[in-house]
Amino acid sequence: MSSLGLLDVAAGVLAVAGAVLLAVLVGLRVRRQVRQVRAERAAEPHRARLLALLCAEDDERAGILDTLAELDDHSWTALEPVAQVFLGKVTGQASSSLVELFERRGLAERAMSDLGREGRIRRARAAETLGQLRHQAAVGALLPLLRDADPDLRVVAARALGRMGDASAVPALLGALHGRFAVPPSVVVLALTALGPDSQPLVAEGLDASQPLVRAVAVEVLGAVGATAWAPRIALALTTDPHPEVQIRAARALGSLGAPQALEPLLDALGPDRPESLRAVAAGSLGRLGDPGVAGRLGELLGDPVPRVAATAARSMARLGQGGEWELRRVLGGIHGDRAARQAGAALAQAAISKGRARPAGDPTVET
Amino acid sequence: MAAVLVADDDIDIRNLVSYKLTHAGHDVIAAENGLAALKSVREHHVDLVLLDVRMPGMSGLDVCRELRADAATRALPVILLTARSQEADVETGFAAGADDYIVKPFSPRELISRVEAVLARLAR
Amino acid sequence: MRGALFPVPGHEVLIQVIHVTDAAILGYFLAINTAYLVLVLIAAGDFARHLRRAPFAGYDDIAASPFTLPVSVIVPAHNEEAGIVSAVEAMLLLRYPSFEVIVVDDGSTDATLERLTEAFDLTEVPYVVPGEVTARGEVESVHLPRGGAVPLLVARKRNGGKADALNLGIDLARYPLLCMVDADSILDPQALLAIAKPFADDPLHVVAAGGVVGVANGCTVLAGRIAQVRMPQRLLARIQTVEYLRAFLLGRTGWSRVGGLLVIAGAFGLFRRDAVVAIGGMDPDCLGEDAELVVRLHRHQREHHRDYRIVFVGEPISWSEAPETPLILGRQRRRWHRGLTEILLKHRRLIGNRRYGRVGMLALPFYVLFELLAPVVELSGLVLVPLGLLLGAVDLTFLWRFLLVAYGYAMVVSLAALVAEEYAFHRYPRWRDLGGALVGALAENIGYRQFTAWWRVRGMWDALRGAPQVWGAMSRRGFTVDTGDEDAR
Repeated sequence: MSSLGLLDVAAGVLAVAGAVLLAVLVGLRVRRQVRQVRAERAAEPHRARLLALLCAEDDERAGILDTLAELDDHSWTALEPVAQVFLGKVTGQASSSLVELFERRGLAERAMSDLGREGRIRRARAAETLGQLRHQAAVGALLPLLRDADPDLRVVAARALGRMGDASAVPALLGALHGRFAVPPSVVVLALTALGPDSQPLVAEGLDASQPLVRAVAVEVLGAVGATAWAPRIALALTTDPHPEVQIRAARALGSLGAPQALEPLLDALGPDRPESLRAVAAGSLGRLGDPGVAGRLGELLGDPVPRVAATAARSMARLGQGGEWELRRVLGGIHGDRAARQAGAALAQAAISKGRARPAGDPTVET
Repeated sequence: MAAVLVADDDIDIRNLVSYKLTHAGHDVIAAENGLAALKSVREHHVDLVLLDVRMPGMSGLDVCRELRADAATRALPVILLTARSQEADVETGFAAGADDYIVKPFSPRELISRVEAVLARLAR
Repeated sequence: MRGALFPVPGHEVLIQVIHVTDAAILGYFLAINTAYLVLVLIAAGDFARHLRRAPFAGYDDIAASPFTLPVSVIVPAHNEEAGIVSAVEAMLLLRYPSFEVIVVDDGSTDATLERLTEAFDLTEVPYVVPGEVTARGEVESVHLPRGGAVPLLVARKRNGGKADALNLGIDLARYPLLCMVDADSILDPQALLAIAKPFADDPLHVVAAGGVVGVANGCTVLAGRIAQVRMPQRLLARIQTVEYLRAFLLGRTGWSRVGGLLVIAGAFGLFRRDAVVAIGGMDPDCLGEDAELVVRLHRHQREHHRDYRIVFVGEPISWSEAPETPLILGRQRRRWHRGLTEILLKHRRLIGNRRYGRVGMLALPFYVLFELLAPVVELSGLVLVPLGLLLGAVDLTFLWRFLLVAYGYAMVVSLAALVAEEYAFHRYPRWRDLGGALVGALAENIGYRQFTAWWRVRGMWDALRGAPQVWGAMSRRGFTVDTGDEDAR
């Protein structure tokens, strides 16, 4: 074929491709708009009823629930996504009414059967729904999904298990941290913290695990849920655990637990032979413990060659009240040299400008 | 019966709160951002303001401060709506002059009792 | 029918040369468009996958979790008095559990710092700069808001350019993730959540994530947030909208999937701080500092045999104003191309080097061949084809078919990009916007490409010659601001 002929063929192919793409473009748009309008039209009359269910007093609740549960399929399909949005936005009776409505519409049942069917997307959606509904019966079916080959499905399963609040899932959640198909630690931590107090002994078993990541997560969870009973054990991890990441989590956890046993190990963790990140975290945790007795030791850190350690120590001292402030002024006076004095000056100035944040005294609703 | 202004950028929350308050016998004005909220307060009679903390542009805290700075609205009761992860906002909220706060997600029942408690405190 | 208008000695040889060159240019056009088409198709596949998984992406959990990694948002600012306050206000309202905003005022000569001071009740404090990354311009002052509740820090330094300003921001950042944002970027409220998700999903490997940049021209901005997405009125901006969609949204999504993402726009990107500190921050001597950082990250990670990922987040989340006059557009493209040339020169050792995996073997060669050289080929085509016509080597019937195929293919690729956008995001709701986009896709090939090619070649020349750098001056028209109130701040 001549080059002209080739060009003609190419031009023809392009023209057809262009026309097809244009048609697809318009088709997609029309289809979407039509669907949108239809869905809205179908959902509109029932929106108010849904709000009524969420806001219902005890006597009217059953009636509204019945009406919605018996809605024709077409209207329900349109209303379901609207209702699902509210699941994350309300608590209390409104939330239990919604869950009951979903149960009666067979949502949980459908999701349970989807969980066992083919297709990762379908299974992940089902797991998400079951989690939102806190459908306890699903725990057994969700556990094996923590080991699925699909990363998203594993994450959804972990999240759903966290919502169920069933402590028996703890070993599987901790186990999901390692291996070829693992769940990201932040997801596991969030799920474990959602499980409630019964789960704490099971989480604490993770402190003796052979994998450092499991120990680190166990430490972090116990610190986050305020499991003060385990503070001595976490303090031990800070001193003896061979892995620096576990030590760092332990130092942070001890800061939030505020246990007195934490003081000594935290002070030890400031030593110049310990890892930089650990020293910085330990300095921060000492500030959170609020014992002004450590101000002197923190003051020595203000001239530390590692800027992060020095700055954190300075900020921590500012949190120790009068004692800390007094020591900062001494450091500012130059007892530990110029560098330390500059850190002390900065911390004092920052503390001074944030004084305005004091809240009205005696308000019991605010946590510190 | 009171006139309540609800400012939240989330339409679902606006609808839900409006429904609950209306059915409890209150008048509701809805605003979808901070500026619109301030405008409504100046143009209509309002007895109580429900403010979402995180709104685009002018946050609920800014609105609260503006209300406190203006003599005409200084005494207007304000309740903040705040997400669970942003409870640090609560501290700032009280500093800005808020009377109470509600953590999202919330139960509509709790919402109405908080609103009525604040209104009752005011009536005394 | 070929007759020479100007018979010259060695005519036959010349005609042969022109024939071969024309064929080569056509071949090049087909190759470049095919490469883009492949990227668009890969990206479309990725969108489809993403879209089906969106219902269980878990954004609400990330938004509420105290374990989500906190982010330091770094905003370099140079003479931004007009928009800096609303920009910072909008950033402070992003939906994310824990973050701080660091504004670095790079020696502004206007009232940037004064505006911030008024709006956020800032006060100057003594501050010890850590010095983990060094900025050349001296730090003049650090300012914090009174009351201590607003997570904002403003640092003023002597002028040293954008990269230098970012370096100070990186140094001051206290959190493990760094989000670098232009002061004039408009972010969607979900922006941080979306771009941080890869870091939560794959915390051991992801070191950087890029975000989509859309064209803000024509959109309505309400209180620092995009309220309605519209195609721009002006043709020049409309063309750029289509170009951004194709090259940035789909092109980069495609590269991310392949594992060879080389550019994260300075307008919106998220990085692991330790990884950035390990390579000493931004290179203040490189004009395309954003892309250079990414190439250097790849290089460092590969050289240290790390198993790492640099990814692109497809959801449309950040919006920037595109130039609306030819001169400013030209300057921008000149700057961009100069940056690209400098990066490729600086890291030429990586090109075609097996050691650097797909980055060295695939992405960088692609950039040299289809990005760096594209304007050169485009311009030589513009010279050679008419020359061939003049010398009688090419006739008109050939010429118009040639142009039709070369540019027609480019339009088909743009059209495919529009289809992918419509399928996955459909951010342009009006039919009129669709028409506007089609006009833009058509007009891109008539004049726009040739015009930008000229400026890009000049940028390349600047880099080769080593001309002095300047902060890109960009006069802004300002957005359509509808604040709903007469005394808009």
